Amino acid sequence: MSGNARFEDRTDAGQALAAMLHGRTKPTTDDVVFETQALCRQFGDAGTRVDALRDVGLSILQGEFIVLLGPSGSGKSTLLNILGGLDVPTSGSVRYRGLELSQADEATLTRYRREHVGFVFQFYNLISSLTARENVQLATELVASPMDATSALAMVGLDGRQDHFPSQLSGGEQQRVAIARAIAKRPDCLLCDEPTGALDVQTGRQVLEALARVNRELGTTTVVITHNASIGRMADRVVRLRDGRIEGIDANARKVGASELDW
Amino acid sequence: MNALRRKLLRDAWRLRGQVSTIALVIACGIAAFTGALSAHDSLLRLRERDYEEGRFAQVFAPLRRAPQRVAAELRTVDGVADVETTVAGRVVVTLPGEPEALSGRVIALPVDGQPPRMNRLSVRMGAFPARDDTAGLVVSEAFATRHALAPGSPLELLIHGRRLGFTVRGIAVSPEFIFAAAGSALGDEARYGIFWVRREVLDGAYDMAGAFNHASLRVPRAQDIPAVIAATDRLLARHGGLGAHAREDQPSHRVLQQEIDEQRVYGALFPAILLAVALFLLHVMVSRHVATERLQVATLKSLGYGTRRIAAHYFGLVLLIILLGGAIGTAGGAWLGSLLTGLYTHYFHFARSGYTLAWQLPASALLATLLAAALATATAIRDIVRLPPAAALRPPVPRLRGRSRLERLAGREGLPPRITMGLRDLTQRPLRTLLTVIGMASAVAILIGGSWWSDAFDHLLHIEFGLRERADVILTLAEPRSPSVLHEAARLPGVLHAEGSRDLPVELRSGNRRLRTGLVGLDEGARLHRVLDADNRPLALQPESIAITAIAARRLGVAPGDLLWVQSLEGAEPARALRVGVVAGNFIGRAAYAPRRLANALAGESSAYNTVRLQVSADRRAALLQAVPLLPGIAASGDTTRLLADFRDTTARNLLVFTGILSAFAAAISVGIVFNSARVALAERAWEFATLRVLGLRRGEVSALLLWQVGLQVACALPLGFVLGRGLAALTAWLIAGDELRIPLVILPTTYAYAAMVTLAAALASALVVRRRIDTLDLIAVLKTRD
Repeated sequence: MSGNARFEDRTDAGQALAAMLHGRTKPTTDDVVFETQALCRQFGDAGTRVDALRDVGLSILQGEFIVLLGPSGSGKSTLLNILGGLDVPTSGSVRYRGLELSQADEATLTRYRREHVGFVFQFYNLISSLTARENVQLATELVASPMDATSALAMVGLDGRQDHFPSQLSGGEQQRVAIARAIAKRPDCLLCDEPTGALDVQTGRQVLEALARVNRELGTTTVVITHNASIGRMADRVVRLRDGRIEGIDANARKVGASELDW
Repeated sequence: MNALRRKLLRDAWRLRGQVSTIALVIACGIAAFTGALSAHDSLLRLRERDYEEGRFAQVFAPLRRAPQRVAAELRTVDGVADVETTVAGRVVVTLPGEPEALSGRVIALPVDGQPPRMNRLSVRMGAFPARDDTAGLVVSEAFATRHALAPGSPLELLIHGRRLGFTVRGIAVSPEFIFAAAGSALGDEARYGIFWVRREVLDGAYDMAGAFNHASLRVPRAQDIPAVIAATDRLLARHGGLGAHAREDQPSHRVLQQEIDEQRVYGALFPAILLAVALFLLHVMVSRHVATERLQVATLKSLGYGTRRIAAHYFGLVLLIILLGGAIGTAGGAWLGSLLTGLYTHYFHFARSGYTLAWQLPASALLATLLAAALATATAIRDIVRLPPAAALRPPVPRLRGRSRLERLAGREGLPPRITMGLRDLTQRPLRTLLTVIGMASAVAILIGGSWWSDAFDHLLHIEFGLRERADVILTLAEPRSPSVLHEAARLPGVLHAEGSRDLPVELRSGNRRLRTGLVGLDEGARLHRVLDADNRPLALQPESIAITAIAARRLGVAPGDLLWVQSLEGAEPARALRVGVVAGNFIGRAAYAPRRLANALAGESSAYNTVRLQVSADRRAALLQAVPLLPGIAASGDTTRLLADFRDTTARNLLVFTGILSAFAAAISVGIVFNSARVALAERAWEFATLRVLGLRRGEVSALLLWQVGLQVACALPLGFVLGRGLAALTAWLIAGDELRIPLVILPTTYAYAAMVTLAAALASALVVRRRIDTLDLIAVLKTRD
């Protein structure tokens, strides 16, 4: 890393975030990355209408590690898609640092994803014809001041395997390449859709550790969706969804490390 | 309808873009095959019917003059079933209101007033002149149509120096003149008429009472023909025999045969290319389709469907495409065949018209396509249906991809990842990429192969009528005349320069190879008719030697320096051995050349000419053509400028149709190949593309990835297509090269450019259709699905 100073900065930021989350200080507008109000998303027409999201109001703070927890059909993926600019709500508002995403056109959403969002997919979605480094470079080409591909891979512990093709890597390694690809753009937020869904416990822990490290050291706001409750223990807050509504939000007094998780 | 069949129809509908473009390429192949071969069959059938009903002779014997009793001697030749004699000759024709004097052939009708027994006329309008009607005639339909002649129309014929007035009584076609203008250089039927008159007229004009100068022989058994020809020549030698010949050397038959042969070449060549492309497309599409159906196959198997049943289900898609292509192709083939047959009937005049399409043609095309398609898709289908259900349920093992040689050249940092992706996609499937490039190249090749004709013809006309035959007007004399004829010709209005030649029919012999042809005796320094070498430079004739065209040299197997026996077919002079001086590079004809004095010597005469070539001042051409019939001894005249203009018109029209059809075929191939490869690439990489869109790539950037790949393939295909196109042109030129015509392999840059443009346009159009699909990729689905 570029030195302890940065790490310490982030540690300070972490303490400030903890103070806000536990109500000791009040967040300012600058601290809020995402803010949704009365967010609704419906699919189908009158006869076959499904309410995927109902009246969701949520604020996500800068540097926060959020876990969206809920069973299948609870609306967590829909919420993530809307936060990531892949979908737009039927009604309500979703704002990214003052940018109203619900009203944005296709080009604006593409630019938003390109400059501010890093995606991590359940099935990694690596380009099979490109090596690990080339997959990361694919993302670094898109922004003005990206992270060096090698550094991004080093951050997820894969600096020794950068010339391997996806088919030569294990599932966990592939997911870590996907994380390196996502963070190499230096995005403001990392949106992860069931990142350990296709992995065993041991490999899943490694991936989660990489996400935690990125969140901790780079201060990237991280949203992870999962139906695995134990992953919630490593988050700042756990947002529980059911039937398209927020059932509850729990702030963790103490975040545990990925290595302590078990499922 | 059972569930599998319903699935088949829905799959076909889902893949409709690919299904229809492949069906279209198949349709083009079947249409080309059916069209060309049905036109071939129709022409052959029309010709055979005319030959049979018109009792077309097997052997033809022109001669100077023989008493009628010689006919009885000919009848005794072994193998001869019948002999019919007549009197025929060349004429100059004057039509009211037509400034130009035209040429033609006049033939006597049987003396007994009966219709001819051989080479029978089929009267289309009017009737034969009555027995005592010496002022009536029957005219060939082609000439009558071009000059709006009908029964009652007056015209004048200059027969052997005598100008006679006639009235048209009937209009007819004859098996002997299906290609009516075979007697003129470029088949100009507007300037070459055939006239049948009462025998008495010609008896008087040619002094042929009790004699004849043409015999037709019926020889029922083909194997007797060579012996009959030899015996006929022997019998007629002392009567000025001009060389008996079989149908193969009969002018109309020869031209017709060449066209029929050409149709066969097209009927085989182009469909083969189209079919090969279609099979490749089918292979790629079916491979891709069954690969995506892995899970379905496993599901069907676990439900209890047998391997054979599942294989039949996927072959059903192939069958559907071929039947669709077959239906469109058969309809298109019938249309094309009737169009081609119709085009031919503009200059081939049959007694009856009619296009027929035998059901065997499309049926055999369809069967061949089906068998080939089964072979082309069998491996892909077999590999999938043979998988045990458990294996089919697992995703396929991803292929290990490495850095290609090309990338290694670019160094460790290599090319930008987006370029690398496309490049690896192409290089990891080298065979498919190669076949795609070859497929696109074949579209370019078909375009060149179909449109280079006009370049070749322009070149040919430039050589033959710009460099070799340079006279504006050519006059043919009934009999050789002394050199004073040149002075008389020079005094005709508008004549700037007059030259003469002595043209005579000869037989050339080298060992046991024989060739009958015309020999042109030229004066030294002649500039209105020149002998050219293979590079089109004028050649000087060497004294006491003969020059022959490359076509003739090939037939005789001789080279410069070899000895050749030359026998004049006029008169009874003995054959002379002459050395081959030079080989001329003519594209048309199998002519021979000699110094004019030598030609006179071969004919056993003193200095004389029988052809006069004129260079004419353009503004006085009309006056000259009106005055031509006044020249004593004139038998025919030809205006090369108008002839050339008319020829260009006819050729241009035919070439336009031909090029249009082939352009459509080529466009179908280009669209088929580009659309399908882009579509398959999209299907295989949709997941990657959607991932890139989620990562923040714009629509245009993702489309560029695909279009870049298509563009690279097109860029490789163009030069390859140029080479293949040139090869195809060379192959067609070689396959249809006849005795009378050698097509020069000349392809202008504009033709290459045209081929490239059509291919690019088709490629671009289909790539843009695919691009629209990229714009509608489902970005959310990729988050939850595995590739």
